[in-house]
Amino acid sequence: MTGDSTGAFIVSLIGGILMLISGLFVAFLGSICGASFSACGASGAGTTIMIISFLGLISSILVLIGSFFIKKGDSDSLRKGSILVLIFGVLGLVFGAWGTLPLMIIGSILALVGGYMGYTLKPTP
Amino acid sequence: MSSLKFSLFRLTLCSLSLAFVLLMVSAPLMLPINSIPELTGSPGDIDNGPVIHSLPVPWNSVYYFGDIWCHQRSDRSFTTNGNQFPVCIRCFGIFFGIPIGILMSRQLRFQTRQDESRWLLILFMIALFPIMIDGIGQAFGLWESSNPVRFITGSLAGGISSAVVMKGIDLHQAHMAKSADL
Repeated sequence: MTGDSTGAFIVSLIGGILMLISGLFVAFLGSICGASFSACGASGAGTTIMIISFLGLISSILVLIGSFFIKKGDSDSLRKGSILVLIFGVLGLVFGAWGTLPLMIIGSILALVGGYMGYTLKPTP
Repeated sequence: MSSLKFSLFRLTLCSLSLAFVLLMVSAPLMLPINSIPELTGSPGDIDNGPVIHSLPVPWNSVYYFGDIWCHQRSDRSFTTNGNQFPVCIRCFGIFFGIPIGILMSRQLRFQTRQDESRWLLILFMIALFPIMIDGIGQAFGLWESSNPVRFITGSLAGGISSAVVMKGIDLHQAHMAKSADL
């Protein structure tokens, strides 16, 4: 059983790419900020900042992986990919809203739309 | 029935994005002359809270959005009626392109279904490539972009990427309608 998952794949992939652009930017800034904190002796705070700043990047990579699962089109991959995209789309949305990152928010919304499209797709024989 | 629903969905999205663009154009026009000072700040922060708070509704909401969304550098923003636009020229270009892209997505057709996802991805890359090259080159000090180039690259990014997303939703709707008929 396969479904025509092109639409869901494209929307979730675009969401993932936008999240990735924002995630890379925040991770870059977060590593500079975290390293500065660590250099000043606040190594705990520095590590926390670094970890948090990489959350968006990790979410975006997992959304991209999920979108390629959706592209496969068989019912098992569709379900797995959609759930991955939906879960990490929500995480990206929370992260984006928390850090007021517009590109991350838009990417997450597109990922959620793509994940929903993949989840509701009815595979055809 | 489902195609009618989708046309309504497309029309609603297009109207909403067009209304948003019109709000952005109207805000500096409707406010008193020279009532907006220089707004330069950084994206993700409210840099001009007290000034924006004093503006009347709904223009304060539009400027709040711009303050969070964009750096609002005054030398990179349109000014009309002595008031700066809520977002910079590149961001305005992105928002300006969205309703056009949603309308144009109806015209996107491909010869074979196998190539659809590839062509949509290529189109998306074409949309992002100019804005990325222009932005990165400028960020690394290789060149200083001009306002017309910022507007054109922004419009291309907003227009083509919204068309690609709408086409993706279009393909999904078509598939859902086909599987409902079976």
